[in-house]
Amino acid sequence: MDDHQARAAGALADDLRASVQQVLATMVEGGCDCLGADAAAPEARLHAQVEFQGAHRGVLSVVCDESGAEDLARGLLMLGPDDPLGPEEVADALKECANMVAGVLKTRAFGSDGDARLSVPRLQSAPAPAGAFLWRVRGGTMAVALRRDS
Amino acid sequence: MNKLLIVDDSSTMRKIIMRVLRQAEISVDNILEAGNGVEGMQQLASHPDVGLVLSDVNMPEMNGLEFVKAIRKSHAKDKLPIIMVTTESGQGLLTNALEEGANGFVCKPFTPETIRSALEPFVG
Repeated sequence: MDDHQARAAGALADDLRASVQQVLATMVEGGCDCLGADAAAPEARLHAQVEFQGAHRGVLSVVCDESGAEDLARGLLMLGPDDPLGPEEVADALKECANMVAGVLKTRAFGSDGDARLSVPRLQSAPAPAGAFLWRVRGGTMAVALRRDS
Repeated sequence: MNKLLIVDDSSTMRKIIMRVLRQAEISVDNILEAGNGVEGMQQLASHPDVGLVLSDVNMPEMNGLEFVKAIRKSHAKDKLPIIMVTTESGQGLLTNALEEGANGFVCKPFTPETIRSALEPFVG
């Protein structure tokens, strides 16, 4: 990777962190904390992906362990610890979180008129990609990563 | 307002919007839901007194732009206010939606104040 590519990758990483921060701070009751690189990645129980299509191709991943995904869903829906919450609601909340992060990132990184289109979010069974940023959401951990294909 | 229709393929987002409407103190007697544009059109046919629509853009089966176009083709619904609620804030997309007949936008993530500002012109 040359200097120009390294700077571009660094700027994209900054945009990704800022996008996650914006979504979690605005939408998740209780806020969030960005964790250091030494934090343990969550065991991948739920993995939501949104594809970037067009000139800027890639895949955004949001990965949580079971309790992290439930904490995220409860935060988004403003539910207390004893409020009922089904697995389908947890999975949908993770997908919606990925969708919002991808939308904010698209605008931050590629501009409001950039040639990037977003897929509908979907669940995957793959583990968290290497180099993911980690976030504490309520009691759980969430990993977010962007793989660039172009 | 009597009835408001929320169209989004994410049940989480529909619940979030309902919660934010309460936080924004927007008074609605009845909130209807649909998971895509096709279901949205069915809801509008069943509930002709819907007074406002909030619709996602990126949805399967019939997306938000197609949904707006379908509403505006219906003579009975040519004045129904439609607010797009979307993660995509590209100017081209927003212009397309306005040309198809949308009345406004809310970008995700949003605060209760953002929702209140967008809906204020259309609610009593």
